Amino acid sequence: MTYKLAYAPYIRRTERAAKLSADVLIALVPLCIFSAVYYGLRPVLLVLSGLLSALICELFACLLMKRVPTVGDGSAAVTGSIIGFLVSPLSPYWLPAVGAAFAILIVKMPMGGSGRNLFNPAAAGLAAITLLFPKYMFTYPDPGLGIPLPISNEALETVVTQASPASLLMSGGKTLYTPAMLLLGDFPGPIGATAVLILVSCGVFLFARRTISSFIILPYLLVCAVIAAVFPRVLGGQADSIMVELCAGYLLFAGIFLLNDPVTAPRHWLGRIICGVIAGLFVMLMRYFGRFEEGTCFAVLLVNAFSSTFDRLGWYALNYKRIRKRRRNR
Amino acid sequence: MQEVNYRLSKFTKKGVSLITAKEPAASRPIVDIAPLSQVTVPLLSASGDSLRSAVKINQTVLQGDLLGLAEPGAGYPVYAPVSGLLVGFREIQHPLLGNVSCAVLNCTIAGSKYNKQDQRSVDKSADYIKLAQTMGIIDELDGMPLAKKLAQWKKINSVCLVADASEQEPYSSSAWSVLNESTAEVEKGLELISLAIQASSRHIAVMQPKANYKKLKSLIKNTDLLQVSGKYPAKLVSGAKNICRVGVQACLALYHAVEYNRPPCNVVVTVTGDAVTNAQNVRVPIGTLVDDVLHFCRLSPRPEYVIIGDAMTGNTINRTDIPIVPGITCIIALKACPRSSVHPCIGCGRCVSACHAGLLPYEIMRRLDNMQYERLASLLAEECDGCGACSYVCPSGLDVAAKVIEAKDAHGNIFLKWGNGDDI
Repeated sequence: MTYKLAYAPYIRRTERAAKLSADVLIALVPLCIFSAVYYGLRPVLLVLSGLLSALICELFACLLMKRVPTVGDGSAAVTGSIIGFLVSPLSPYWLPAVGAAFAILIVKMPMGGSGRNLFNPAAAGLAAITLLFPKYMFTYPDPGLGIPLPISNEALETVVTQASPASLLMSGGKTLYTPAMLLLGDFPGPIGATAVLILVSCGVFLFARRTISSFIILPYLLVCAVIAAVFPRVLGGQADSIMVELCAGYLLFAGIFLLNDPVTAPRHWLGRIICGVIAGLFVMLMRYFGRFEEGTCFAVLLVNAFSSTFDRLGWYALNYKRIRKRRRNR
Repeated sequence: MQEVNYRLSKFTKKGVSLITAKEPAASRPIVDIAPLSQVTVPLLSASGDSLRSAVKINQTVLQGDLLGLAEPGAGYPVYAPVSGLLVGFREIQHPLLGNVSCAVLNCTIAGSKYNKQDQRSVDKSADYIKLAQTMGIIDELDGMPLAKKLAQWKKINSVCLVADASEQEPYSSSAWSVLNESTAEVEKGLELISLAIQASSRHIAVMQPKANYKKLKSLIKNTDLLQVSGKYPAKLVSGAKNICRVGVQACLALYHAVEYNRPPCNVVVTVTGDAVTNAQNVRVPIGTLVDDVLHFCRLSPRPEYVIIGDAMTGNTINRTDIPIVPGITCIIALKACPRSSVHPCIGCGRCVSACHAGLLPYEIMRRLDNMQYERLASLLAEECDGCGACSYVCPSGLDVAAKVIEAKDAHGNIFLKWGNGDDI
């Protein structure tokens, strides 16, 4: 009688890779409900458009590459949903679909698919549609009207639009939005990025589930806040500046969902801190000197490129003595 | 008394929380295996040298008779674990000892050179290290000769001696059972070791529910009892930093050697797993085949995997005609297949958080897969102790630990010397 051989350990934690994606998708549901309350069914359809496009593109790419479809791991669903959540509620339905298709077909799958992509596909998809269609991306409806947005693309021309806090920051002057309005999401912005309190709750949920790490998001927010305090772009003091800078655009959303993507984020705690600091710096530089009112996706792509370097930097910094000792003994 | 604790890294919470599967074996008494028809005793000194047989074929030996002779003045002899007739020798590929010559004894004769009444007075000035060497006592914690360990510890100042019965891995409970059954003897054995190496303090470490801990605490009189808590693998830390760990079975063996002049003949192994009907701790003569022990504990259906050692660090074996030697404290038979790889690495960093040695397991695996051997050297893979925590937490089900061990074993390979390591 012969028995099978295997590598130790012979027990494994039941956590699967798909659980990480499932957690993110669960965290996104309250944001979807929130936007539906403010804008009606249209934002939900936009998110679904991004999601379905990502799933179909991933399936198509897997068939093309003659691979077992990896749709089941949920990473494509997360990419598509995030793109859907970061477009304007006034965007045409094809916009998130194009972004998701770019993310999957150009950024993710050619690099080897799930787990092998160098850049965050969602950030890349957003960067692509931001560069190609800035008009659609940064035209936001007034949330204070309380009227659901029309479902059809043609009827959108009648909708009252309003300048977002991010665009007000670009032009300078006094902010129109009180801290209460900012916290409750009563301001124009991308579908999923305005509900600040819900976003914070999502962050806490994902942190409790160990899906995201505080080592990235806390230094990231801290750096953004410090820059906002030192170089305010609005009249009314440092507190107002910090509040508006952190709540405007999708700075907070990117900190929770984009920077913490397991594939592209550093793994070592010190590398994560370095990543958070650099990301905060890049985001604020993009805002202060960039062409668009919101350039967080570009900042995310920039830090993604150095993710592995941050990891090694962090690890080498902590283990420098050990490595030197080993080299001497060798 | 020095302060000794089990704790993990000061800054980040490393390690993993494991499930416990010690029951029902842990709460059952130790059972002696039914009389065997044959045992296969490896004639290999604990130092790794082959031994010369002291007995000829068709000659009878009594339990405790010398079976394998070491070089004069060095090495560690092997004694007959049972009384019987030497019927021949066999070459066996042993997973722990390598290719080894074994003496096959037919257990046809009853009786022993020793009995419990042969107790003698303990000479507190005797050289216990020498005695441990002549008796060939092996420490079950690491399979090292006890005498060798004691000789090394004797040279260290301020030794904090710990009899480690913590058994942090999920299945094994043999140390706890031995400690529970022979508390006083283990304590005395530890005292003898402490005398031999002039340790500054001695402790017994366990990882047990509160009730068991309290019960044991009331039985132990002269030794400090430590309760291990925290994540696997918890490390012993002390201000003195000279912690020396010894197994409880080795303590017991030394006590028997001193008290009864009896060499170690038996080992206690935990036989468990979902393919074992009667999971329990079994006392078996050294050289008993794994197959005999598994059948004694009744295998339910045919198991797919048989593991020597515990679930985190053990080795699977494809044949069960392998003799049990000191160092094997657990045998697991599993029906279910361990999870195979399902996804590529998603880079979640769980392995980095779990690694108590502070390594980057995913990076070692990546460089090994990409054949960047010259860049492996700077990742300190040789500091891995193979605890398996990285594989345990991997959500993609990858064999990260196996890769890190592969990189560790490749150390010294010519490929690793191509570069000077990874400069940033």
